[in-house]
Amino acid sequence: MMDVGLRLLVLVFGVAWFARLLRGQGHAYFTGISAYLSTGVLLILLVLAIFAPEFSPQNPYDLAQLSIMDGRLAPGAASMDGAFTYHLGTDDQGRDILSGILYGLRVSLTVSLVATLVAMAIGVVVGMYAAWAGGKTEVVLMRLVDLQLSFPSILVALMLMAAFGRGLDKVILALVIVQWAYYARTVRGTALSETGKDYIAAAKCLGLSDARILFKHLLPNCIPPLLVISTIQVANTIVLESSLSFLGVGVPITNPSLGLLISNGYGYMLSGQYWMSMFPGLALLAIVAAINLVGDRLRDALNPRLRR
Amino acid sequence: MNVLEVKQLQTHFMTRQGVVKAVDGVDFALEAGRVLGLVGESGSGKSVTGFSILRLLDAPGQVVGGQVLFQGQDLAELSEREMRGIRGNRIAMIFQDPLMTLNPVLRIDTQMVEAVQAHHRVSRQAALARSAEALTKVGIPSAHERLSAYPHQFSGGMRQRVAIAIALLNEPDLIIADEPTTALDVTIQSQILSEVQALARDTGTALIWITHDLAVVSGMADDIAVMYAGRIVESGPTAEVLRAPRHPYTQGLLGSIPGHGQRGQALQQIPGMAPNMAQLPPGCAFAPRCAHADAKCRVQAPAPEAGRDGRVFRCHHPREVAACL
Amino acid sequence: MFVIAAMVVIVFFGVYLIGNPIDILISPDASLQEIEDTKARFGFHLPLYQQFFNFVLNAAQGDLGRSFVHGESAVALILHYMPATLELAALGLLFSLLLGLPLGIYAGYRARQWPGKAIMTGTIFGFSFPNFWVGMLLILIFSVQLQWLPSTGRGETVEVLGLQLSLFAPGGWQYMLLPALTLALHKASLVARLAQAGTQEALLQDYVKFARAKGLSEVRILFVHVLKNILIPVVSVLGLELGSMIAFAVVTETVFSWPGMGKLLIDSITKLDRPVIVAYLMMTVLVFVTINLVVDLLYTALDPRVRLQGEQS
Repeated sequence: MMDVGLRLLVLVFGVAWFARLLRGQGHAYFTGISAYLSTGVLLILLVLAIFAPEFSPQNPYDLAQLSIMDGRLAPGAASMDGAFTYHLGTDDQGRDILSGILYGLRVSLTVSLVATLVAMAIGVVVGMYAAWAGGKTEVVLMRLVDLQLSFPSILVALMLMAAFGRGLDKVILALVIVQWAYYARTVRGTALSETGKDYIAAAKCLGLSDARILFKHLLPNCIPPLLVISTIQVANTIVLESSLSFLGVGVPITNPSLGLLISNGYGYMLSGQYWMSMFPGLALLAIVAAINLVGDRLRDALNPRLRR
Repeated sequence: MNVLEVKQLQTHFMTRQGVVKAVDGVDFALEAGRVLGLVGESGSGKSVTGFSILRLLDAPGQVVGGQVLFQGQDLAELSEREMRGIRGNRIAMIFQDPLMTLNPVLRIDTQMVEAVQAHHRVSRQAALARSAEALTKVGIPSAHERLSAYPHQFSGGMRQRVAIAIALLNEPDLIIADEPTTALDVTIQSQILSEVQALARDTGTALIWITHDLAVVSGMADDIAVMYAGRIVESGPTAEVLRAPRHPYTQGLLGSIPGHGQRGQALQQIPGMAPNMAQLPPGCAFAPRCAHADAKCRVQAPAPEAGRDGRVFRCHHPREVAACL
Repeated sequence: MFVIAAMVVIVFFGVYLIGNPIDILISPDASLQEIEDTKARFGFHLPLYQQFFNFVLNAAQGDLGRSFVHGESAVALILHYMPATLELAALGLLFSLLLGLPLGIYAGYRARQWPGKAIMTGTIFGFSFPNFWVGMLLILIFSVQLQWLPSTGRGETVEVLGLQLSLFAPGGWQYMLLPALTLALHKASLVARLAQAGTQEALLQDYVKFARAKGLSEVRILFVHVLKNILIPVVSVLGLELGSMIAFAVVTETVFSWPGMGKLLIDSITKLDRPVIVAYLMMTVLVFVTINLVVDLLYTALDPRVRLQGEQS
């Protein structure tokens, strides 16, 4: 019960935060069918993911519940003992695809959200510090950032995972390393323009300590442009993680994400047993597209230049 | 026959602040070979009049009333395709700033040849030849080499000559020139003015010269129409209007030309500011700035009144003042 | 230069962390002597700094070691597979332009009406599709269901300018279509968005109004006047994206079993073939630097104003 309550809290918190983000710009955000649809789909998927154990008909990772005899059944087939219908079919181990998708959604989302948050935290600190310190520190830090950003994220992630080996925490670590530079560069830009403004000068005149100025005054003003970027980055991270998992260097098989599910089913696709890859693929597409659409609308709604 | 007849033209812009009546009942006529100077300050609606004739209005502008008759043909009855056949062909337009109006990444020959080939089925060679000829006519030396150049490789005055050449390419019956010399040096300005006037005379092309500068049109226009807040407040033969303006606004414009008064005297100005087109006062639009306005002026908009020798003016209290230029 | 130097250091030490390659080269019951021999042959017995020194020395001469698995020079191996990848990336780039530009321009032209909005939503879907899934979907539709195109492998090749290319081979180009399309989808969406924004801005410019006043057709205005103006930003972005395309090819090549550098890399990672991984990274860095140069040159060619400044200076 505690567990469910906790997750419910997370969901409510998320929705409340989103509502606060919109803060009166609701009319600019909900401009048409696609806005309503994408937000709705996103909400549904989030709920499904958070409450996966409650929603899914079967726990696909509890070996006791599985029967290899149920393997590779087409969607809509019933289990061998007739007690259970596999609405989306089963994979080669007899696992219900629908349940697999729900749990996979959970893993994909959790990994990406955690990685994005951590990367953002690191990036913000580095970016702000670089802008604040200026001089050689800034140059060195920014060179590092540029170096990292000049490489496609997938290559960097691939190399890192090849070095680390498989594991959930290692995936998150790799994703963080790939992403932090992007936040650092954005925040540095914002921080640079903000430090030139009067309120920072006023704070300095008051004799406030550096740390206080940085965190209480500068930081809150650097966050807004980040919010929209991070939404879209979550989507990118999900895609990146699923690509890594697909290639076999991502999450471990004990805790599969959608990418890994797709990879597992790939071999069977050519022989016509498409459902093992297709449905996880659709779920992946749905969550990524929903996040991207929401992020796109957020950006337009919150963009002060577009306000008439 | 009149090349162009504009009757009660009305063009409105539906903006968030309200309806802006940019052109509110404009009448004039133009014969072949004649030059009409359309004078007014910014926002008076003169450019919009030009665009309305060619149906080149950007949203949210729309022609909501009146008629434009070109060679007797009501332009509103034409389809967009037919209208395209007229633009650049029978009616040509010259814009104010040729650096912006010529596409900076395309060569001059491309931009001239396409203007020809849009209306006539001729080979590229023939179109090029015609373009070179047009360039020479407007006074650009070594036309053939200059054709392969890009717009930024020309000086301001040359660029405008190119624009004029483009307008002349298909030998139009009417040219609408929207402040073509405003962006140029004064010396180039007078050069181009006299050249265009000569060209119009030679080819028998009717010309509408839109400008805010009375001095510019005084030398070259046969007729003048003065616009204020979307209406023509005074029109007639240039010499007559300038010799004896009836409308206070025209008088104010003439009076504010430097050099008109004695040395050492303060420059005369028309008091007040240009009206906010979204919130025009009822009655005469010029009343807030007019020294002779009375209660009637503020309530009732004056209708066009015809005077002697083809003069028309809109004023309840036209003045008889002899203005010297 | 800084980039290359940093890469060398990072790559060498990073790759060194990838497991112990000895284990895959020798069977577990090999004698200690055999292990020592192998170590000696591949230079593992030398101290670390010496290995690094040798590495740099050899690298400068173009020798990045021999593949553990294949036995050939790593550089030669990569070069052998590179044309396949470059060919694929080039075709993918072409497709993304052909798909994205017209759609984007049209979307910019009709931005406020439903075609424009629909296309914009479509592009968001376009770059939401994970690369590998697009590939799988295409295989499912075109190879399995319709049986129009082959799903894996590379068909015949034809020698062009000393390189083995599939595009011009009668039996080969069909194999390229699906992978190239897969690669193209993501970029096409980006191109379309860029084109749309650029077109919207361009249509506000005076030269468009002037072109209309000349009586030109809307088609010509869009696809000659506007296109030439938006080509510049599109090309510069796309040029930088070529590198990312080569990176994405890693995934695509795996899905389609296309024998290119990307597939080689994945295989090498799985088999812990250190020299090949290192060589791949080095070559990629070189390719990226070259691409940046080419983009700069292209920029000059496309924008006549930049050219003039160059002539004057």
